[in-house]
Amino acid sequence: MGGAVTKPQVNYQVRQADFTEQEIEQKLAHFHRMRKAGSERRKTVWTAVSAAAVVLIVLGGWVLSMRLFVEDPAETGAHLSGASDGSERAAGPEGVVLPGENHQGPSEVSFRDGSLARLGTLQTRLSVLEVSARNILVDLPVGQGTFRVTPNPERTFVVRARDIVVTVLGTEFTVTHEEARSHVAVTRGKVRVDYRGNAQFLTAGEAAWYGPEPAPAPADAVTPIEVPLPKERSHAEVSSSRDQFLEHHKKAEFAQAYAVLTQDRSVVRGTNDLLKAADAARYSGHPAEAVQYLKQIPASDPLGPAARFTLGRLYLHELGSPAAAASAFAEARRLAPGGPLAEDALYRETEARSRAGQAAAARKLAEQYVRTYPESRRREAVERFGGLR
Amino acid sequence: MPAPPASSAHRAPHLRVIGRDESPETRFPDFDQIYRRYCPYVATIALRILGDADEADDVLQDVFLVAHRSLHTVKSAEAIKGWLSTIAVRKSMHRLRRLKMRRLLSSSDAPLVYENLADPGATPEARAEVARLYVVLDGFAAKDRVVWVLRYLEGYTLDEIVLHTGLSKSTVQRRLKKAEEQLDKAEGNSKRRAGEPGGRSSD
Repeated sequence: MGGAVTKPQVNYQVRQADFTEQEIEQKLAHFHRMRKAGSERRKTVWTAVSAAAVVLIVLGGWVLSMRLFVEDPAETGAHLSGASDGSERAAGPEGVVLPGENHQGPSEVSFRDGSLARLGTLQTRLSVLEVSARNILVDLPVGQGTFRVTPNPERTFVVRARDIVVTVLGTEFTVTHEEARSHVAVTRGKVRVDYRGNAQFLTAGEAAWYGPEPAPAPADAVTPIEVPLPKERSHAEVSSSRDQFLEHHKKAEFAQAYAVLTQDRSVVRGTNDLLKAADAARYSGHPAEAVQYLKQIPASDPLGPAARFTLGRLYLHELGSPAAAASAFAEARRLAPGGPLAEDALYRETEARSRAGQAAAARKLAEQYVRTYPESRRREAVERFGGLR
Repeated sequence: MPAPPASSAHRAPHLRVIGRDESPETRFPDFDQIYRRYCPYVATIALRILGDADEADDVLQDVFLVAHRSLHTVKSAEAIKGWLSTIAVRKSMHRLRRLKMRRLLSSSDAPLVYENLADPGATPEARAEVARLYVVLDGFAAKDRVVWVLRYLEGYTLDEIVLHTGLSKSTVQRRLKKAEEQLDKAEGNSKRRAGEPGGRSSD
């Protein structure tokens, strides 16, 4: 029995979570409010973590099945033409990526300067065309790649992806090819996308499609993700997709829900669906797209404050944009000043302003927080964010 | 010898029957009572594992959402505390993995102020000690950290850790040993640095 083991002599004075009766009552009331008002969404969010393991297994099985049953198409070889000889050249010495190397997903490619390319699917191909002190040039002809580029003003990092060329200095973004179209989503920083002679800049939280079908002009590409009902699809087909989407979302199968969503955006109808679409995008690793869905929820909608609050958390924790997060939290507070999220939004806005380097604003908010919630257990943290300590 | 009373609870222990003979201690409480009673207990487990009050707050909410949904599966009032512990430990462990991954991928997170984790009555030295501890714990693998916290801060037995984490006993022992070695090494380094100006910072 474990009792046979002597109790270790450790004397760290770590505190307990100490709540007053009033705080417990507040927490309990908050719990019931959250559970009743949109509890389904929150529950799925919280069960998403446990579902993630299942999703990974499903994806693993899918990848395995692709490896077993799908021959590399001939076109894949053609896509590798950027390599010196089209062959799968072995990687260079450990930690050194050499020009001419070809890589296949799912894998990670680390560059000497710390930049990283994550290749998403088995079909993904990446050819390293140039690695020098001034340039890193890679070719992503097929699949999906997420690039985390170490900032270096002396060196440009260029991703050629079919018809588009993405140039970055220091950022994180994802390029996804879907049939004839390509999708660029920026998680952090800023990129320049050149497409058919036009240049366009995308910043954190923005995403755009490039390609012939549908054919949005690059200048118009940075718009909220539209949810048109394609005329050629029957009502039954749309309902079927929508059912699948809702079912996957309900089971917290966000990767599958996202897959349905990308096939058919008409499954999204109304603000509740926008929240679900945001969930699907966010928890399948596409936070920048989640932003686009959340932004479409009108401020006047009952879900408006919650959408802004979620947007703030996305910007703050997943997209590394504290300034944008602060604006979203401020909007959430403005829309529901006495709402259940008001205290949390004020706290997080203070944190976001602090992280964004807006010391004066953070201080002002911290003072407001202390005045409004003098007994809060978060007071100390808020005072630190506001520079009051 | 008289036969014991044939209550339905004896025949079917999974049924929760509140009878007249039940004392307030053994009567199955309703959800709100459970929340009020165990909220600080669950929050403490999460706080000590995660070292972050906000994250612990999220786990608290998460644990009670599960509890609200699955309370009917608990067979007796005595089992509630252990059941909540298991949920809290596993949720915290899961969240810890996510946190570590998030911190790995994002350089924007401000460092946590670990002095806040010390007991309010702790001396400045004890607060610094707690802060140093959590800086070291941040370098642990999630499971190593969880078993160490449960063993040394929560005072769980090995069998209790096995129960709450779902790990095997040998795995718990192995992880505990690894964590102890890491901590001993860190403490050794810290002592070696003691007295040096600009030595190890507590935050």
